[in-house]
Amino acid sequence: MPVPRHCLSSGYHGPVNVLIQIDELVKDYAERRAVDGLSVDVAGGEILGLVGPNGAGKTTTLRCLAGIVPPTSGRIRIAGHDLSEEPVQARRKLAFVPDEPHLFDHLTVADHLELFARLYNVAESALLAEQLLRDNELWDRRHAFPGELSRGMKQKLLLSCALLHSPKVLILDEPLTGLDPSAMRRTKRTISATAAAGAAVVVSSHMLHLVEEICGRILIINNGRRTVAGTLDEIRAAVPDLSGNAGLEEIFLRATGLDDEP
Amino acid sequence: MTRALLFLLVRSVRGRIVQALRRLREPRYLIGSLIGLGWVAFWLSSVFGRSMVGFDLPGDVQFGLPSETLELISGPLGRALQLGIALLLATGLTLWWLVPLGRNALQFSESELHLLLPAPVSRRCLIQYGVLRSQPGVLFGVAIVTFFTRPRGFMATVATFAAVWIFMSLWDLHSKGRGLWLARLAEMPLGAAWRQRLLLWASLLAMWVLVVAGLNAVLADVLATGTATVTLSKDGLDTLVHMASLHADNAWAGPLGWALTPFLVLIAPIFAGIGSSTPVQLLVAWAIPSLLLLAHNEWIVRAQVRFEEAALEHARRRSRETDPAARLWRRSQRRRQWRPFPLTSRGTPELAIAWKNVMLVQRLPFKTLFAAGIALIVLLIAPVLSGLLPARWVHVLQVGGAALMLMPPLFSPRTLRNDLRSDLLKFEMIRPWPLSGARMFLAQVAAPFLLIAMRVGFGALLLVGVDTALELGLIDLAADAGLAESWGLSGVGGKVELAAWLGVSPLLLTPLVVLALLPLSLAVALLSIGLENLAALTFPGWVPLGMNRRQAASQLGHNLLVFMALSIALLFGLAPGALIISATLVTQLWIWEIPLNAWELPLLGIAGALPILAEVVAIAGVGGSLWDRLDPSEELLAGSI
Repeated sequence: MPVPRHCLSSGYHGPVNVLIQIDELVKDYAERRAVDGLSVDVAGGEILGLVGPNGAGKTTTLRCLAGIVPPTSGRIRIAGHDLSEEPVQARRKLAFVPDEPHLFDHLTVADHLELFARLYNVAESALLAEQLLRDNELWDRRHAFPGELSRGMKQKLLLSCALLHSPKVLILDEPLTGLDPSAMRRTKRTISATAAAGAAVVVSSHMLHLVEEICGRILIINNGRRTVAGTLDEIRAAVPDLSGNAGLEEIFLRATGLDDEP
Repeated sequence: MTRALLFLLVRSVRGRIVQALRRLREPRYLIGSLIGLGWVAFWLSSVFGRSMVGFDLPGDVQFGLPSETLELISGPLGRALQLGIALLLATGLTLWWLVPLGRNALQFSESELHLLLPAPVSRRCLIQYGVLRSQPGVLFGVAIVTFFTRPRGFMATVATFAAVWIFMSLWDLHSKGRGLWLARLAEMPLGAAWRQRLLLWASLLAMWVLVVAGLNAVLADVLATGTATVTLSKDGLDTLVHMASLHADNAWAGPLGWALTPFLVLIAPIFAGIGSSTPVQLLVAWAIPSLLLLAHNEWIVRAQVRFEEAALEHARRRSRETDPAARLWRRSQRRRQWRPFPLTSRGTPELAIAWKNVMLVQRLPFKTLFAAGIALIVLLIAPVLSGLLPARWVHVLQVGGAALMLMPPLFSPRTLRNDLRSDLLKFEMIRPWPLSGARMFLAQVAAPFLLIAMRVGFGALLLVGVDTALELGLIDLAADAGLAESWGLSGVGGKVELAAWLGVSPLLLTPLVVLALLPLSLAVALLSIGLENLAALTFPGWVPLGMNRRQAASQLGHNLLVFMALSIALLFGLAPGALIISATLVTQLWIWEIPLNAWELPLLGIAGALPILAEVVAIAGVGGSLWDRLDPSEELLAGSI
């Protein structure tokens, strides 16, 4: 089993299961480079927080990782499967929750889970689906159409669909947007529980307190490039002129050069 | 209109042109444009008589309307055609006003509404901007229509362009006016709104009383003089044209002509442009529609309705590009649980996609639909069997059955859009699904195909059912030959002779013909859906996406171009099948001189369908590979990095 680079650099030698491997990822749009040579590994059980200013390339990175847009160059492996060479096998292992909850307007909440159960061949899906809907307080709204749900409820439905096939890799883009405080807490617990069950999780968010709270490792990117990565302590040590108890917000502003306050 | 709004209008047009040109940096769009331009050059070359690409075309190669047709349209058949079009317009307009769907009021984008409504701009200016906003699209559509009708000479081109512009602008303004009127009704007190509605219904009813009286007079006229035998020869066609011209002249001067006068006035400029009218005649034809155009503009600009809410709702619907969700919300809890077929959680994932896409159109279980179809067939035939309806109605049922079997494969793929054309808008959701490209493509094609196959199957069953009832003597046509005799026609005759020539009993002839047509019909449906999906995948920036294809006048040019391109592709796609069938028939009948047997027909149908199916497989391969490599960043996911 391959060992993540950050584990080698930090002297870690225990058994690890790398589920996401990104090597020299580059993504060009017509007039600009959105992601520029990004490399990172994420092991099973780990939550990686992806942060960066607007336009830094976070969403593009996640879309490349989920196989939504093809990278210009570089390699992505999901649970040992190369995303460009074995896309179907790789996609079976992953789930992606986009920032905008684009659901199917003509399918009810229950229909969405039925659809995902068949797409991913989930055994005993009815029980699982019920459990997920109950956990996300959607059971009573199972015959509702997305147009009748609030943004937060749609977000919860997307998360339920994503978790139905117990993915090995979970990718979340701004997962807490539109959620009420209680749903936020529940979602954070769900993300942590998914990682605890052995999945590799990547979370992109501007809510730095969330990243700080649930992510074991943080990757800050700017202009498509990796600025700094590691645990909070490792980053504190890597960024010069930071106090020992600097929070992620301060680290983020310093690392991205956005700290223009006197 | 203020300078600021004019600036916005001009810059928006410029922005759209720049965006379209930027798209050409992608090779597929560039190649698509070059092919389109090549075709336009080829077309233009025939217009100017000499090829623009450097070679002379044979004298008999013609595109657009042939001169004989133009002479007929502007001559003896002109009035009949104008009456027919006016009748269609009257029917369309009546349905449009009666059914309050598609409230196409002022089309502002959401950002325009949010930025312009709080701005210090007068209400009149803002509405005028909303009206003029659709003009670039209308002008593009007018140019396309003018191009395809291919007027002869500069003056004829100008006249056609102006006439089509007046007509389409009126259509655009009228639709906006209707949208605002509907919005105004919603604001009015209930009693006042009902009075307005009743006034509208009374006007429409008065018009239709006159139309029906006119149609009745025409029918009586036709029945009184229609004793001539019409044969399929040049003389026969001349007789037909002469009769049509005679009846049209009578109808024109009678109540039908009076009732349809507003619509005849509307289309007069177009027909004046086609015919050899003098400039004065053209100006006279344009006068009333031009005044109507100005009146429509004033009607809209002076509208007292709070258009902002209607426009905002329209903008929201457009930004979602899906069926208005409110339609779904009215469904009962029981109907929400209907499924076209049960979906287990284990098995091929393609079925899940087909299941989802079928539900985009209807949720009724297939077995219920099948039972309803059979019941409907029985219900349609029973009145004829029981003598409640004259036996001649079987011909209507036969024509209906044949039309249902043959038309949906050609036309339904344009309207049923429950495939990639809808799902591409949910790209972020569907792209991570664990399916290879080819399987995803076939899964997407499956849902519209299933729905079309059901329509085709219903048509086939109706046709065979009616024919079997006739052949078994359950329906006696001879007892109802009155009308046929008065016309001097011999009914549908010839079937017994045809069955004898094909070596089967008349009872088996129709089922065997249906069995021959079924594979062809279904293969054509698959090819047509496949081409639509391939086009959506190749050019997502050009093909209109979403279930609600935009029907506004400003979209006509764009829709027409897509329709033409796909129709030409379909025509080419059908050629191999047609060639195989023709080659088989020619070889058997003329070279080997072996008589054709009816039992060969189904095999011939399959032989014709096979090359079309092979093309569908190839299209699925290409479509699958495109799906795997598709980078939708520019067209579908623009705006987020």
